Amino acid sequence: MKNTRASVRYAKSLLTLSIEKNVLDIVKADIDMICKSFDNSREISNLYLSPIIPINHKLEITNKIFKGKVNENTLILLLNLISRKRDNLIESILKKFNELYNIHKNIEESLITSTYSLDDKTLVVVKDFAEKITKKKISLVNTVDENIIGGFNLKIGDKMIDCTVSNKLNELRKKLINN
Amino acid sequence: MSNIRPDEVSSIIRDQLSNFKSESELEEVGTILQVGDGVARIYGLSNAKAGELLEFGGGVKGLVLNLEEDNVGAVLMGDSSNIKEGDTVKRSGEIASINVGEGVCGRVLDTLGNPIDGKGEIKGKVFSMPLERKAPGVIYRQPVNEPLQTGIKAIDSMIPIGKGQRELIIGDRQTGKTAVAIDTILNQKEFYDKGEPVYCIYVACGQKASTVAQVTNILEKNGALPYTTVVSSPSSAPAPMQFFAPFAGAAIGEYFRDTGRPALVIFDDLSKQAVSYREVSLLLRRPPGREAYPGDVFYLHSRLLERSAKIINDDKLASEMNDLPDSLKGQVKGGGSLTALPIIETQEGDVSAYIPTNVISITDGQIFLESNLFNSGIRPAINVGISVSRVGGSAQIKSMKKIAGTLKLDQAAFRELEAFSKFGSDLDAATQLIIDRGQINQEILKQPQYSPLRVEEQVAVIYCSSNGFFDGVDLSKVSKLEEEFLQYVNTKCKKVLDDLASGVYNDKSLKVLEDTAKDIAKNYK
Repeated sequence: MKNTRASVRYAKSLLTLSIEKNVLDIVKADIDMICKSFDNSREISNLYLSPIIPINHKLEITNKIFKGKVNENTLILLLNLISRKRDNLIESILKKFNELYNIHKNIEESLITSTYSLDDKTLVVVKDFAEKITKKKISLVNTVDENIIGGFNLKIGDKMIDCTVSNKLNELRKKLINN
Repeated sequence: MSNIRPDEVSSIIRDQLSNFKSESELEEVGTILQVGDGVARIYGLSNAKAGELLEFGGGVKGLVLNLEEDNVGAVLMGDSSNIKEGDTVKRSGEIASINVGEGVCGRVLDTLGNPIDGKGEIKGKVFSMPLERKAPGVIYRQPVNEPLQTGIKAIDSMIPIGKGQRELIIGDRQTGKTAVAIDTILNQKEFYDKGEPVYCIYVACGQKASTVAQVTNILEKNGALPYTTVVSSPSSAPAPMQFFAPFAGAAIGEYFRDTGRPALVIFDDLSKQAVSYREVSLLLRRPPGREAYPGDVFYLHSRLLERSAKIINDDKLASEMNDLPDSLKGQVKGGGSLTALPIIETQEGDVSAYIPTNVISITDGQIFLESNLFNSGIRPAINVGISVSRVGGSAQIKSMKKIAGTLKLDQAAFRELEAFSKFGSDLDAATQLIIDRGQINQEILKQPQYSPLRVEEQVAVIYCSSNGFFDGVDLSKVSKLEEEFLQYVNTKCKKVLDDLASGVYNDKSLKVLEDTAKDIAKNYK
């Protein structure tokens, strides 16, 4: 939550710059890649959060990891952030960039939770349904959670349809207690 | 245990299950970013409105108070121990409201309107009244013109309160602030018995739970509970529940006001409410101002007290009142009123602190209670010199207005001379008379707790004492004399009292009172 305002500023400037230079899709791919590497390795995220590691070391490591693999604009942003000691914001900047990208491209993120992974045919139906509701393009992710017992839970942006068995049982319990 | 048949139980459960219908709807949700100290920050909920109720997991309710750039600040109205970061929060789509109906009388409720007295659900039809509601506009009001009898001689004669007025009760701890309020509720029994009840609401905000239980007990014992509702949010309740309790009380009062009946709401006390509001505001990171209260602590009290009003006596116009809740439409009648008696506790008699000055400036007058008067045995410990009522005078009945006018001036002169006489110098006869009569009046204005007097009794007693019919009576015997006088008048001169009650004030009935008073006073010299 800290410094979200600064994160928005950095994310916005990266977005507008990449639109200007016509490299938006490449930058987006970079950001997704960096996000993934942050998720996969705690060392990377800890590296940027640590105030003890000297700046020149951080710069060197960053260059070694990302140079050649990401667009020049993305790399400059990373290096800039490090030298301005704003590297602790990197994760929230990545998040904000994705939000702004989705707004720019009129995409709504959506998440469907089920007890087993759904086949493509079902996912297409769900996607069509979600697009009809939001009138936006939908990027749909399917996660598996056995705690919901059965049914599904569809989240589209900040809207939700809860058709899980666990939720129904909860409602039933509430009703029985209240009577 | 033997008379429970298992097949009966299963058939009941089967019945319940077959009635269970569940439809999944598109819900709006957010995710909790941070939760602690009874405050949650929520991401998402982009359409949430300020003041809206939210549903957290486990049935805990919350209230949206802050709408920020990228998150929503909400306060929790319940136990927050089971709420975690990352939980989903649902919008309910409705603003915080409380269910009110005829069934709330005689009940003890919490801030959200749930009964907490163990007497089951609220019976009868209920209407949903919003906690936050705009006060009625100018055209739906009329001036205060009816008296609200408190049954306390010092108040009804010198600081009269009218229906629809807001009169502050202010004083240090242990000066009898709550006692004045409770006596006022008890005095409404007379009108309840007559079939013209003044519905009373006692809001305990940040009080000890034992005090609330005690008050409820007293009301019950004195037969005042059938027309009284107690809204209790003791100091153990979460801060948001505490600062919304007066709003819940006002919402209940508005139900009676808007259905054309008089209501009386007591906020006990607003200084504690301000403290819990400060707590919530600081936790929500709103900028602190003077004494760390948020900038809108004045608005907190002004919007609450502005809701007490005398509604115009015109059903058609009243039914067009602004911000009427949908549930109440079609039920609205004119002529109702909501009188507010807010209570403020001062520290060491300091009325120039922040919250006391705010509330003094909002209300239509104040009743000052002082601890040194209380300790010297003048109870109720009202300091008549600095207590005022700005609108109540026009609401007094005619006979009371006549006798009270001189009483206030006489007492003012008495206090001035009393201080002077302490030097022990010889006084002329006129001065001595003022002092002697003042002392008698002072004794007459004393009144024990839980013994409100009817207005005609008050008029009779005050008329006799301020006209000198009790002159020369031993000060320690004044209360005995008053008791005997009232007993006599009540049995032998019923007609005179009835006349006084209806406002008739003629020489004949006054002569009867004079003769009686002089006759009885003889035995007490």
